[in-house]
Amino acid sequence: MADKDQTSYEDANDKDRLDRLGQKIAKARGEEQQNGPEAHSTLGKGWRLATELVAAPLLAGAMGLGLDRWIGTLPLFLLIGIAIGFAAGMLNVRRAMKEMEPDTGDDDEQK
Amino acid sequence: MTLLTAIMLAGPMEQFEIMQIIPFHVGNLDLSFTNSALWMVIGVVAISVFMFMATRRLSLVPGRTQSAGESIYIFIADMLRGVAGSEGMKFFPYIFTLFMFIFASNLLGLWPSIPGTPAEWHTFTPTSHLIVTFALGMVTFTLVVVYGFYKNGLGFLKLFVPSGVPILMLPLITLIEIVSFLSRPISLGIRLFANMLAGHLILKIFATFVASLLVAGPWALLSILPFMGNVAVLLLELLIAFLQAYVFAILSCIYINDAIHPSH
Repeated sequence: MADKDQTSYEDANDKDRLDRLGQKIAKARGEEQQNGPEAHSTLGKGWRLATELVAAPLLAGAMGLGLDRWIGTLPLFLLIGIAIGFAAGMLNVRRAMKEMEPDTGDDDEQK
Repeated sequence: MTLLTAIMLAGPMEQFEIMQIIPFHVGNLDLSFTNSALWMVIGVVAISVFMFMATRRLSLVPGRTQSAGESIYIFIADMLRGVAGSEGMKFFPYIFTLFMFIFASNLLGLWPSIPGTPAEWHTFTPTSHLIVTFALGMVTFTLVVVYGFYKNGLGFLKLFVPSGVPILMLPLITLIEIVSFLSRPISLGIRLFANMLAGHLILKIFATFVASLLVAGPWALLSILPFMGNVAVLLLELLIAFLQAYVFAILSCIYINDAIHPSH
């Protein structure tokens, strides 16, 4: 009987320790996820935002230029394209920022 | 001395030159086997050898190679499942291949060339060319568009029409959304290409400083400074080689998620 008590006591103790270990692991995991590869490097973030901003005006400007060459209205669609591309670039940057910081910037999406 | 003068005489852009190794033309098409193609092949062979080694002698308690292979697998699988859900796991082979190929190309390109070998055999980074990275971006883009229409039919177009926008603004917003969508492969391509180009340029320019200082008499003592700078940049480049492969892969996951769940 005494032995049995002893083991059940040890079991409870073990369970306690296991729980604490589980908490520790979960905490370490959480920290790890916060310091994921992307969070590590502000340089990476900078590159990401810069290219998101630049790519859309480039594309829309090129499309506008092509349209202009085709129809023969040279500056018109190029300018419209760059303006729309800039708007799209801003949209891209805003989305990228939101992905980086999921807690902030959600407010205006719901309006 | 000849090595030093060779380093000084070579311009920083020469490392990006495409050179034919086995010329091969079909009509007007130039399908030659170039140094770029050679390093892509080396990358693929390196990945294959690594994954073969990792899965050769599987055991419950993994050895070093096996656990390295397993951690890469888990890393990519967790990333994909976290972004695109379990439904996205059918794209695991694609994302894994993409990540490994970019990572291997970036990493192998940092290997120093063997001195004295002909320029065709010098180390080359395929991902430092815009057309390569853009083509990789287009593969992701095509996959997203084709799968998006296959899975959702015309419902995929909802991606371009945000809900709750006044009718008057709708054409403009839709146009902006379409441009934003089309610019994805371009930003994917430019980011990877610019990172690789910039890193290799800085390495080369610092190396030129070292060589120039070494032949400048007493100033040779100072050559330790750009040399240490180069070591630091190389370490940073190792990080960037991984980081950019990771960014490319996770953005592909995000875009694939759009194809699976097209509502904004």
